[in-house]
Amino acid sequence: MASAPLSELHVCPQCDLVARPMPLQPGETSRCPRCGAEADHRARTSRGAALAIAATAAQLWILMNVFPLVALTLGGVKRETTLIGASVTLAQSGKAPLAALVGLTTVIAPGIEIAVALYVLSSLDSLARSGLLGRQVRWYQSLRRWSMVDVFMLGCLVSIVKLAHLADIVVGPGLWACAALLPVIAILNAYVRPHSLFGWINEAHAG
Amino acid sequence: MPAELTLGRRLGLAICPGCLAICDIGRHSAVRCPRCGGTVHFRIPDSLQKTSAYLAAAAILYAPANLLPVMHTNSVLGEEDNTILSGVAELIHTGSWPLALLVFFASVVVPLLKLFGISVLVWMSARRAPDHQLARVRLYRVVEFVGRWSMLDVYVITLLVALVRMGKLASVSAGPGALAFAAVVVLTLLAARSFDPRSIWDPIATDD
Repeated sequence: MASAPLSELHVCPQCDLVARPMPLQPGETSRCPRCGAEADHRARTSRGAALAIAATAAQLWILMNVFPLVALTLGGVKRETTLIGASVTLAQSGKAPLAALVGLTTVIAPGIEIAVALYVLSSLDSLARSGLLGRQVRWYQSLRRWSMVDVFMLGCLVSIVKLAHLADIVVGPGLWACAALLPVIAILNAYVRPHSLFGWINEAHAG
Repeated sequence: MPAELTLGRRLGLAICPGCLAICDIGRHSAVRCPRCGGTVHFRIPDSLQKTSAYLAAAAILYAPANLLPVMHTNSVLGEEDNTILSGVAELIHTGSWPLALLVFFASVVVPLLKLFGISVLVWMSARRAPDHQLARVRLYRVVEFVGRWSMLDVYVITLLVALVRMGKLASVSAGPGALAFAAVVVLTLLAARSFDPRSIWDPIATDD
């Protein structure tokens, strides 16, 4: 395990400089003195607030997946699609790799990202005691890079503008949920960071 | 160089990329992180080779991604093939030039910025350039930050294919360019991730 003097040192992930960061106040971020990369961060929020955000994200993610995103009416024919439906249609048209990429970045990665955040935040202490917290944090870190709900939302807007002059468009509840999910996921990502998670554990031990 | 400029590699320390724990590697080449179980290296192994390989593959696919149609429209008004650029042109004609600008940025500027930006980073790191460290690390951060936005067109194509399926009246299908374009996006993301920004600073670490 990491020894005591080791925990006082920071090694910059972007330039390898060793620094001795100052203790931070809640909400503060320290940076590498050489390259300016983030060195340490102390959460301003409590674990409870982060858990509430994760629960909100989970509900919005479900709504986004269950309800249609957009409905289109052309010549009396109505077509609507859900998020998963869009990937499935693409797969059926013979573009399976493309469909897999869309499914991964809009459904699977955000879903697992939110699920891991919920699990970690609700059982932070028992995970830390059993030594399993680190692995969850690593999964969360690698998954959230592939979660692209924000880009997808913009893609929806572009599609609607492209179709608006050809057909009647109705924005479905799924797209509203997606729009609401954007800031929630951004806040969640700001809260659920390795430094803040392990910080909460250390605070619990100290206090 | 000031004496307090100590490097992790010299102390046998490295930061875990998974959980940001500081790990004691000592004389080993890699260890398992005691906190998260991930592998910790001093530097990403074979970083420049991997990055160049992803970059070369992305550069080769960049031509079909832009020349081949990404979308095929079949309607009562006739058939139409759209490439990435003609899609942008179409948006200008329909009058939404702010959106056209946005799509142009995400689909044309961002992929080019990634291809050229990472090439510059790899080239300068490979010849151990001892200058412009701050500018290079800023370029690395810009490339990392904007990279995902070039997925935009992939999502637009997906939604149009899913919505416009009225048989003979109107239907949209994804063209062969779409797959190449998505591959360019993924390959440049992987290239950015396999580049080790510490290689920017390594050439000036000669104080011992």
